[in-house]
Amino acid sequence: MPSSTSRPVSHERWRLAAVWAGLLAGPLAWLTLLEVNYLFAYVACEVQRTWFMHLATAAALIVVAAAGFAAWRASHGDMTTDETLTHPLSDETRMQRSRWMSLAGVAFSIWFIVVILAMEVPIVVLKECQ
Amino acid sequence: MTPKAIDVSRLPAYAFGHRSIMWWGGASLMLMEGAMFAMLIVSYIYLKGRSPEWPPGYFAPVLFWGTLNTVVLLASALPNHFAKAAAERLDLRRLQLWMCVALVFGVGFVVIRVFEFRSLNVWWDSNAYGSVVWTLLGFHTLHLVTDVLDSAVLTALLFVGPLQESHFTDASENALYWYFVVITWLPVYAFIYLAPRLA
Amino acid sequence: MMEGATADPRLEPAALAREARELARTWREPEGFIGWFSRIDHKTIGVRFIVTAFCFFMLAGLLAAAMRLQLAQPRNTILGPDLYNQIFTMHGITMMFLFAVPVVLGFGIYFVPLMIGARAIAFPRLLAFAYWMFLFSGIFLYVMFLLNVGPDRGWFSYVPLAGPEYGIGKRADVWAQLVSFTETSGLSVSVCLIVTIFKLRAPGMALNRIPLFVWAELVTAFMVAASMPSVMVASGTLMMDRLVGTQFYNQAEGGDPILWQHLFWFFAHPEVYIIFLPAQGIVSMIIATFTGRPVFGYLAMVLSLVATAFIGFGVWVHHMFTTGLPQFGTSFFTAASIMIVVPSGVQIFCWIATLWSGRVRFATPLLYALGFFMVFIMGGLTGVMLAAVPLDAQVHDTFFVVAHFHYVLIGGSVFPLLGGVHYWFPKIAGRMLSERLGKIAFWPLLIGFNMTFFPQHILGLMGMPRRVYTYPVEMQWGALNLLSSLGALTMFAALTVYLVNVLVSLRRGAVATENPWGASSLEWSTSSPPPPYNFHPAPTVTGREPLWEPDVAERPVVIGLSADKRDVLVTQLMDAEPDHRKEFPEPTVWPFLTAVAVGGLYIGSIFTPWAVVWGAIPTTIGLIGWAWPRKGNQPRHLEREIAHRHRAAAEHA
Repeated sequence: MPSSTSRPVSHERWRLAAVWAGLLAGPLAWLTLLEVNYLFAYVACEVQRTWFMHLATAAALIVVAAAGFAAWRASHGDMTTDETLTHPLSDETRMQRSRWMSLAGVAFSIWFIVVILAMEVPIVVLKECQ
Repeated sequence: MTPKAIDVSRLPAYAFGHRSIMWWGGASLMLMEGAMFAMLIVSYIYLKGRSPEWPPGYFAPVLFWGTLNTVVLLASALPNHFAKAAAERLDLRRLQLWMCVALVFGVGFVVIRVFEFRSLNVWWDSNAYGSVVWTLLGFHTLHLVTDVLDSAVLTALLFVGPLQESHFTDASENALYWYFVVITWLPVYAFIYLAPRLA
Repeated sequence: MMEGATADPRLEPAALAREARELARTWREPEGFIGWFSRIDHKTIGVRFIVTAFCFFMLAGLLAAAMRLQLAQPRNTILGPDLYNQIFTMHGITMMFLFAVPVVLGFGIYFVPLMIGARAIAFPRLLAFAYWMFLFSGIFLYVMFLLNVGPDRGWFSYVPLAGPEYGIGKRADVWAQLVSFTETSGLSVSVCLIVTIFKLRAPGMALNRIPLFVWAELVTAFMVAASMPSVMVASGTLMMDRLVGTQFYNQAEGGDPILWQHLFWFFAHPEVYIIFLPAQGIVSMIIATFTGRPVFGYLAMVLSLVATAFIGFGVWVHHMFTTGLPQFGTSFFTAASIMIVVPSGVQIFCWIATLWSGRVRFATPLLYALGFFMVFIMGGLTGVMLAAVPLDAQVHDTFFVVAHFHYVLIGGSVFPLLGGVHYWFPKIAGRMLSERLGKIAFWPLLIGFNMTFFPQHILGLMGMPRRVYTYPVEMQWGALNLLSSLGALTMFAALTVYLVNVLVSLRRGAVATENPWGASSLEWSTSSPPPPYNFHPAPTVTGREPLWEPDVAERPVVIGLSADKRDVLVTQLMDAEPDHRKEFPEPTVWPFLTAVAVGGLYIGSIFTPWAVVWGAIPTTIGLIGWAWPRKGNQPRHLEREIAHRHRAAAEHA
């Protein structure tokens, strides 16, 4: 008999989506930003402006922050990761895993915000055609 | 002391969609092939960026055959869709029917692909532009050919047997791979046929 | 709450024993000559990968010894320049493609199904195919080397040196096809690992209970899937430039050699993390076992693995800092290359915390883990230095870089691997390695390694370039080179002792019990070596450290899987709840035959593009034979099911 989480109910679905977003938005936004700003670097040298690069960074930060926030909201309000022993098929098993994923999503989003900010440093410090 | 037991004997012997391991195998394959397409397209963009004129000294590929093939490919999604639905209902007769229809489309788009190659207006060894266009088109053609071949083998199996539950799952996953081949065509078409005209 | 767990007569000892005998019959590996080529058990394939990879390690080590002999003195005449070029290229290729990646995947192949409580690995025939491709690639490479057609343009085979104009002969084609072979193998293995880890875990092994080594292998498999395609595009386009006249890298016709570097390094940087992350996983398992406590900070450890993998895809340009790319662009890659250190640093602090708060037993595997700390951290520090463009501009293509990557590769991967062999040898071979010989091998290895590679930092700063077959006396590099070569000799001796330990213990080592180290992961809950069906009865888990839980004897087990066919339980991705059962394939020789066909295609295409067309025919035949079912297997209940569905559809119509 299929498990209850193989066909999640609608509020479960948004929770699931939020948690995966929290995990994946950070790295994907950062990698996209890297490519975009690398290309923009050539444009910036031609037009002697960098505002669009700062804009790209800001957009990435917003996306990641939103995903992290969504992951936090998806956590049933309790993000402890106490590993207590539970039956293999119990609701507690699912709850622990769900809370753990929320926390992972939040932590990962925060980390990638730091990485994105690290990437902003050269745009601030260096000149366009260096 | 005998441990407790979780009895799985009543579980089904097959599953469809992301519940099946075949789906995950197919998804992994799509990730890898998608990465290869992406790298080829990135190479196209890179080489275009390094070139003052694009296409350099040649006409863009003839629009007709590529566009026709796009229509045929998109249309082939329909028998494919019905085949997938039939597989998931374990409806053998319908599945056999729609697989055969899809194969007709398959042969069609491979034939049209030959005409596409003949009307690219450049050779693979003329310059880097020609090289990347032929490689992009060639790589997608490899997918077309293998897709048609393995669909043909699967169809033959559906007629000849012996059948197993897993073949219905395989047919469902084959449909997804077919969609993949159609969907990856769209950016490839855009870069080969449309990008040179945007310059 | 779904319980579903009750005491059951099928769990009486007599019933279990009867079922075990049946399982042994169902899952046994075929015997005989053809049988040897037909095996698909993940443990068989895993051992084949590991042993073959270590054979290549020894070959590459001999090549290194030859180089160190040549460089020990200025103006030495042991190796001429052409042979030296082949040797350093072969050393790099062998280590990177034929040892480092296959061995870490091999450990995954053997241990992942065991650690997750599964009876098998997903797609076992694909796995067998992957092994044959790997073996054929290595044989192909070394045969060509012995025929004086070994690649000689560096393991990264830059164009235009490797292109049609300067890369005369077939040497660069050998490189390109070796890459095709090994990437096909690696990609196949990664599919098996991803699907196994997602879908075949024991009930109760939710995502937050997966062992750290399994997480490392999962992340690695994804990195393989996303990065190897790039090098396949690179090697494929190189072949085309050389064989059929394409112009990808010919500047005169719109091509660009820098494109090669982008395509290659986009793969090759993740490649080093592919090599490193599983080793981090091994270190986690070793440290947990030999401190008697779980690794501190599980969430941080998992996120560090995933973060390193993702960021690893965003640093490749740091191999291209001296190619004239604008600084504004490369600075992003400097930033990323510095940030990637942080997750690894987090892991190190977690391990230190584990050691600090546990009861440490200084067995040989733990010594290798400690050696890893020392050597890898040093390599990581020089890595941060190299991330800065100005510094890299000074030391690029000098021995400083050689020192850096040997510190991170040997420290970060080889030390954990050697520790892992010690740790898991009892499980694989059923015998213990000698602790005495283990320690006798370890210390000279650590000391010899530092003797070999530390002076190379200084040599690099003194200006000694890479890939030179000799150097003049006036440069005053002789003394440090001699020291380095003596260090290499020491390493050689140490590794010989290690090998002797392995060979002797195979016959005369102490017989190993199920769990000689008192470890916590599931591979230690079955016999040493495990039976072909891995576990009986199939386990479930209720926490992160299965064998350290107080209720081990009372934990529910899985019953209801058929013993008369290869019945495997497929579970749901997030919480590993039982979903359905799948019948797994029987052993067959078709994967071997298909590998021969594909190998023929790859090798033939070095000489003529038509090989691709002609070679496709046996390949297709091989694949059809592989997939076609054996006669008489159609299940009766399937006919009933189809008829039932047909009737139901007709009624609804």
